Amino acid sequence: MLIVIRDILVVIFLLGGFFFLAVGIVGLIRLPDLFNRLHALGKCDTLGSGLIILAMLLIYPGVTNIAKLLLMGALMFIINPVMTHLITKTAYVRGTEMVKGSFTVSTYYEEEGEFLAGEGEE
Amino acid sequence: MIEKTLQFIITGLPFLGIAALYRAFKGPSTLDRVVAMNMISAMVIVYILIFSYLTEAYFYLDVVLVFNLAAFIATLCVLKYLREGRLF
Repeated sequence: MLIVIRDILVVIFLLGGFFFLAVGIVGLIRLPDLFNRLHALGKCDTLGSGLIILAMLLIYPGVTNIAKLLLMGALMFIINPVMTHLITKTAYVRGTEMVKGSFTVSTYYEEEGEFLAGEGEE
Repeated sequence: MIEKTLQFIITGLPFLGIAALYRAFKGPSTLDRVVAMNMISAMVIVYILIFSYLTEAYFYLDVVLVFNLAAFIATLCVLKYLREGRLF
């Protein structure tokens, strides 16, 4: 009985993870702008990989493997949002073109267009 | 039932990878390619995990850990080079 419940949970998690990865890829291809693509990917990437790792946690045998999987999940939940934030900041600093009609509330540029973000660097 | 689902996912993931490679080929700016490669590395991680469970070769978990960190460092270096114009 417990095994059946575990199997159903694992199948739901696996299909959910695959669905979110597919939705992220659809967003990557269809959306018109780099920031829109990052908006689609930054959540779907973490959620899809996290759901599949959660499903793998339920079916892997052995304590060592489960510890490694937990470490991997923690690593991925830290690394992926940091990476998305860094890519977005780099794109904003480099002045990537946005889709027509969008606007920004600037915190990095002064009114003359001077660059403010790298102030603490050498 | 789990085996069937895992085989379905391991069959479907390369098609998603090809679709992401299309964006990496066509993308207008360099950062689009960085985003697509980031997504492909995340899917490779999932692929190796499922492969390691299906073939019962559990030492691939270490490979996944090292691959995760290597992809992180690679993207970090590309972004630092794009932003500052030099690496060191």
